[in-house]
Amino acid sequence: MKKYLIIIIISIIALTSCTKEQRRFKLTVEEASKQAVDQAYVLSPQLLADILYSGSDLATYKFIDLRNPSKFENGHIEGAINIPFRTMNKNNNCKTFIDQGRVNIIYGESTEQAIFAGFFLQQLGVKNYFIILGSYDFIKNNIIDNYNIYSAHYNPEIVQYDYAKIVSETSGAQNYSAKTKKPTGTATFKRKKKSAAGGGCD
Amino acid sequence: MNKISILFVVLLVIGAFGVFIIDSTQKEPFEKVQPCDLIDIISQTNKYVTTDELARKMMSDDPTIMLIDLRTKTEFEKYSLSGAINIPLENLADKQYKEVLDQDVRTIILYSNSSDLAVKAWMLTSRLTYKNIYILKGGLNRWVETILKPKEPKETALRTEFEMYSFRKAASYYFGGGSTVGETVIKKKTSLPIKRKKKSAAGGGCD
Repeated sequence: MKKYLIIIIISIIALTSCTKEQRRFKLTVEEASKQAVDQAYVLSPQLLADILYSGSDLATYKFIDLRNPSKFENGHIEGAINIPFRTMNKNNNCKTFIDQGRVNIIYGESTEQAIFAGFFLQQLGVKNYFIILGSYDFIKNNIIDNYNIYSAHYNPEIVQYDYAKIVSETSGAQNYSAKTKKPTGTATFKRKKKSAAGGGCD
Repeated sequence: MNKISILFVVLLVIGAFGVFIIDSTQKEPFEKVQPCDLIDIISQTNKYVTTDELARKMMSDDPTIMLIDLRTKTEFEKYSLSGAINIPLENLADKQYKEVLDQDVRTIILYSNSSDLAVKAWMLTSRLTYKNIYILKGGLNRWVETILKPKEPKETALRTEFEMYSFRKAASYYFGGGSTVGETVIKKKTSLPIKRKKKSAAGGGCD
């Protein structure tokens, strides 16, 4: 009798822990794609500079460096901890990200990496994080070492050129701006014109 | 005793089913990619295409590439790469685009002004287990910097850099941004847009 009870208790514990252990996406793909354009999780360079220079809020913020340990050793934001991107899903690291006690500020070796990490957390329903756009090198050169007026407005997604103008202002071989409505890449079959039957006398 | 043990077994089975049911009430019970897998997929696969690679493919009229513009409709109408299809990021998961994206014949290249939107879109498509999807690294901004307005390398630069530059110059001319000062003497290796041969109109009558 006791045996069975023990077995049952153990198996119930095992089963429930199994389901809790697996982390799931809180957002479906549809929801995630609707929220993807949201820039709320991006830490502006200005705010980053404030945090770095004032230093007062450091207790509430935690910098997380997603690069490889070797790069991390060569230099990182002061007080940052190193969680290489590929180990993000390991259990202990997951807890670091989910920890509600503070705000995580995530950066990586490229903007892309930071966005991958940020969007991943967004889909898991984690809310207490920011990502920094720009690679570590960019942060180092333009915010930590030499803060200038341009660093404050850094956002790679902003249109930096008037594409259509660049294309159309020049007399290139082809002009692809939408206004001119040139045929696009998809091959259109050109109908061969049959030469009209020559009439009569030659 | 025997009855009791049977009862326990039955209870256990019911319990297991119960857990399974709770499990499947999740929003997407049969989602193939779990969070843990997703990180592995991202860190293990090659997901980028550089602007040079794309330019090469476009100039050789590679029929297997399909460009997808993730920006808004207005931005798309202002300027887009030739042959691109506009799928704003918000609508990526819409049913109407499933057929376009879920295939394994063509190479899909996602782009936006930089790679930001493309990265997010790539992540969503890999959650949906779509294949053959790549990100244009640097997006349109880098497209302008490297292809439309290439910078001349310094004199001390490596030869490969000069070769790269001459390719980019040619590409720049091909894509229509080729005005940057000083026409260099680069022979275009690539095929020029084919000029339609005008057939001489059939001589109608007697001249």
